[in-house]
Amino acid sequence: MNEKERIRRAKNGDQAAFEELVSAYEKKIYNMGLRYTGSQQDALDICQEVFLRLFRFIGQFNEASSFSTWLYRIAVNVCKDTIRKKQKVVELSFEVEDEEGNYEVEVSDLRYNPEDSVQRRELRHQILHAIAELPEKYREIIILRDINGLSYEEISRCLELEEGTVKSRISRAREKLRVFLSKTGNFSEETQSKKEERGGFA
Amino acid sequence: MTPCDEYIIKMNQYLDGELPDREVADLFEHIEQCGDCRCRFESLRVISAQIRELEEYPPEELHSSIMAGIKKEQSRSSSCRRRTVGTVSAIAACALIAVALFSGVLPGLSPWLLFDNAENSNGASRLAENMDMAPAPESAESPAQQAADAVWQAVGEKAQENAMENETVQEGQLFPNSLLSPGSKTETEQLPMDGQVFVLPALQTSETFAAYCIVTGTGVLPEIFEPGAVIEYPDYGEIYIVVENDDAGFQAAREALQAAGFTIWEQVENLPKTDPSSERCLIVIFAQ
Repeated sequence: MNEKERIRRAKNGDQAAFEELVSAYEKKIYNMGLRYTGSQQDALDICQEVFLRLFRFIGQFNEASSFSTWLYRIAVNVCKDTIRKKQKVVELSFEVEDEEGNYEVEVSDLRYNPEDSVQRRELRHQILHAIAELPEKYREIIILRDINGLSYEEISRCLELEEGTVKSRISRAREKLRVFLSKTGNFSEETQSKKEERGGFA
Repeated sequence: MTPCDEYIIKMNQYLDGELPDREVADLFEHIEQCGDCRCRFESLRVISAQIRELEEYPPEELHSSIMAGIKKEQSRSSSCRRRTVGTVSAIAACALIAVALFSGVLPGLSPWLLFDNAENSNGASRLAENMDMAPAPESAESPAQQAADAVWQAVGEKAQENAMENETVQEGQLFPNSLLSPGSKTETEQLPMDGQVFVLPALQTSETFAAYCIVTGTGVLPEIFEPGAVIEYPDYGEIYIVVENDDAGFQAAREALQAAGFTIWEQVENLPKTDPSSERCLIVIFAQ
C-alpha cells in the first residue's frame, strides 16, 4: 500500500492505515520536537499532540497536496506552541538579526578529523548545543532542512516563506552555527588570511 | 553585500542539492580562487553532514503511547457520534442553510456543504457508516420521520410538503436528492437565512480557519468564550464562534458545547478549505 492509499484509507476511518502513517512519521516528528525544544519530554508530548491533531483533521486533508508538508506544518505549529508555553524569554549566545546582516569576514579553519571518535563526539555535542542556542527562526529552518530533509520548496510551503527567503535564511543559520562552533573551539582560531600570510594551507 | 555573499548562499544550495547544474562550475571556480570561501565551504559541509547524523531513535514506548492517545480520542468522538444518531438528517438542514448562505456571497466559502448529487450518496452513506447506523429511512419509521421533521422545521413547512411529495428516498441514502441539490430553488427560497451573516467584519475576510465545527442545538452557550468571539444571529438561528486552534480553545469549546447539550457533527463533508497551522477555528451553531 503506498502512502496515498494509506492516507485515503485513514481518512475513511481505517485505523490500521492511520497507525501506519504514525509509524512512518513518528521518528521524524520526535526528532523535530527534540531539536526544537531540546527536551525529550517535550518531544514526546509534541508527538502526542501532532498525531492527535492529525487524527482530528485528517478528514480535512486535501489529497492533492503534499501530506508530509502538511503534517510538518502541524508539527511546526505544535513545536512553536510548546516553546511559547515554556516562555523562554531570553535567547542567548546569538544576536537576532534579519536576513540582511553581514557574514563574518574572517573565516577560521575547521579543526576536525572525522576519523577521531573523540573529536566526532565532541563536535556532535557542540552542534547540539549550537542548534539549541539558535534563534527560533534559524533553528526551525535547520530542523526542516537537515533533520526532516525537506526541499527548499517544501520548506517555503511549510513555513509560508518565499523560496528566496528560505535560501538566504538557511545560509544565515549555518553561518551562525559555524561562527558559534568556531568560538567554542571546534574550529581553530587561526583564520585563513593569517594562514596565507604564513604561506600555504598545509 | 560582499562579492562572496552570493557564493555563500550558493554553497549552501549546493550542499542541499538545490543549486542548478549550470551554476555549479561557477561556484567551484570561485571556491578555487577564494581562500575564505574554500574554508567556509569545508566547514559548512561538515556541519550540515553532522546535523543530518543527529537523528535519534525515539523511546520504544512512543508509538504505543501515541496510539493510546488516539484510541482515547476515538472513543470520545464516537460516543459523541452515537448520541447524535436520532437527528442525523439535521445535517441536511445544514446543507440547505449553507447553500443559501454562501451561494454568490463569498465565492471562497461557497463549496461549503454543497454536495453534488454524485457525491451526495457517498457522503451520506459514509456519514451513516461513521455513525454506526443503518441507513434505511423508510424501514425505520419513527426516528427517521422525527429527524426529517426536525430538518423541515428549520427549513420551512412548505419545503417539507414539496420534498415529501416529489421525492422518493432511495435505500442506502439518508437524504432525498433534492434536499442536497444546490440547484433546487424550491427549498432554498423557503429558508429564513441569507448571506448576511458572513458580511460581518470579523468573518468577511477570506481567512482560512484551522478547522470548522458544525454544531446544532439550542440552549445556553457555555461561558467560556472570549467577549467578541461569539457572533449571534438569533433572527437566522445561527451563531458563529471563533476560537483558538489549541486544546484550550477548540477542544474545550467542543466539550463545553457538548456538555451544554449541543450536538457536534463529526465527518461533515465538503467544508471550506482548512489550514491546520492557522491559529483560529470557526464553530458554526445552527439552532434547531
